[in-house]
Amino acid sequence: MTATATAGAAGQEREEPAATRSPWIPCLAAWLLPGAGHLLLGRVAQGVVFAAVVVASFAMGVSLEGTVYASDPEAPLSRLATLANLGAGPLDVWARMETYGGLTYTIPDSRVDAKGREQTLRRLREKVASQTHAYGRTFLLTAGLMNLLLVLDVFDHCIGRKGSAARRRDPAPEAAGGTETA
Amino acid sequence: MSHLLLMVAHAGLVSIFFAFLTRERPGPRLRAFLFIFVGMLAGALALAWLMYPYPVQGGP
Repeated sequence: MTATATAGAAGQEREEPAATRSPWIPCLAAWLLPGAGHLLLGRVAQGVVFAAVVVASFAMGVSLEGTVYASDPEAPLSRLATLANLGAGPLDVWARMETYGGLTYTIPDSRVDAKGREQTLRRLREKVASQTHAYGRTFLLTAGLMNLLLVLDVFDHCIGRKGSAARRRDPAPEAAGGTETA
Repeated sequence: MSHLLLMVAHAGLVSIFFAFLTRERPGPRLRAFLFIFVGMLAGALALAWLMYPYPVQGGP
């Protein structure tokens, strides 16, 4: 599979210019800024929509006073939720500052630092008292998970896996080259 | 906002996301959006209806 774009009958690019390119910079961009990875790959419509959807989900989460998770050794599943929140990239930093008043990624174990744990949980309880907290938390988790999926999608496009798979599933004679329809 | 409106907003955002993620052309995207959106709402309402006879113990 070639990495270059080929010209179609109408003079438009029919092959993704990003096929088999190095995925690391687009993936990093996708994580840092939702939709940026797709924009770098020339998939403008997707990039704009993804940015709008992820940022809207995150904004709703913050406005509904949602909290982000921190890894709690006494609640192992919180690690997965923390990973989901971290998927939002730098947006997670903002939400974490709102939730904990600092970059708190772990809640101290009560056997190691009982006072620190109590302080962290007290701060968290103030937020959890909000009636809309659970909704906000769901929107924040959704934003993080969607952005993680975007990073994986950009990776698949970069190694040439996604474009051909999408064309097989969604065939169109006039768009056989997989042109992104903006 | 009410629980229902928040649920619709969440379903809408997720549906748009997956429609653009999994489909390349506008027609299939619209169908995918509608399928996911209606599926999420109908599924949630069906689950709510099934759980209605079983309220949370000690709940309001």
